[in-house]
Amino acid sequence: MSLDIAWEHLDSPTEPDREVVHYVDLRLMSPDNETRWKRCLLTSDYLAHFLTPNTERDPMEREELSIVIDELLANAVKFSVAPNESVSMAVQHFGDAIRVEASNLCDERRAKELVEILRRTIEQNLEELFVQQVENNADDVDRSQLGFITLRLNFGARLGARIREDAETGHYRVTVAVVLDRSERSE
Amino acid sequence: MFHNDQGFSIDTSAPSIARLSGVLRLSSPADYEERFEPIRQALVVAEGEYTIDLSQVRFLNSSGITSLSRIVLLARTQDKPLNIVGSEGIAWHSKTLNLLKKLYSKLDVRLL
Repeated sequence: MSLDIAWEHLDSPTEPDREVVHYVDLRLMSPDNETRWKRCLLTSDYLAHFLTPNTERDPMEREELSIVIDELLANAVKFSVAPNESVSMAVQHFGDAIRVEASNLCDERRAKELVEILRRTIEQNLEELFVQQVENNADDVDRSQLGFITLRLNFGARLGARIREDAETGHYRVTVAVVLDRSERSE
Repeated sequence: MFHNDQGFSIDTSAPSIARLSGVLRLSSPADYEERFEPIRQALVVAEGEYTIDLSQVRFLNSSGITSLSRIVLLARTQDKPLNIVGSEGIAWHSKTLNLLKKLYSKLDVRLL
């Protein structure tokens, strides 16, 4: 399995060569899941602060960005093949847009599950999908699967993914990215 | 810093209303179940309609939205009228809270 899901939609259609203002690239490894979860929050806060050194323009921008980064990072951790496997994060700020990318190694079952969730989120009616997923969650207290849906619904994020087989491990390298573009936002 | 549940509060001291405020980001819906349990209990024992005031909640992550949705489903199961109060100034309130109305005909959403 090697495929791209809406990957081409992550380039800005209007200004493809906008200058990059801020860029961060991180590789994260933690010894256990509890430490990983704590570090998801710390990492998303750090990256949000890094990308928005001045929030006088919109005081909620930093919090919103931290939530978006945390959703992607937590998802990468959750779908990771093993607790001690590293997860990569890259964020860049260019013009009015911010691109957030999370990358992890998945086994085949989880990679297929992720592809299915992403496809549904990108291709189906978001509002109908939200309601359907909430109903599906009724019997399972630990299931959400609303992360990608709410990223699109609440933050107007463009979403895409790239899945590649990792020859070294036999697993799959999954990279999920979102673009938040203020010039596209409809309040 | 604003990570985890710093600055988040849930007040269920009044019999028919829960007031929430701040930003809450827990790692799973199961973690939220524990934090939201007082709301679920108050909803079940409330006489008549119950109100959840989210107008001061700036953000809930997707696990939090899942758990909030489960409270709506609980109200539906109990056939108890539910009001959710949000804020017009917070973008996700108008989008997500209004969608919750599709789950339950006796849910009223009001944005201040």
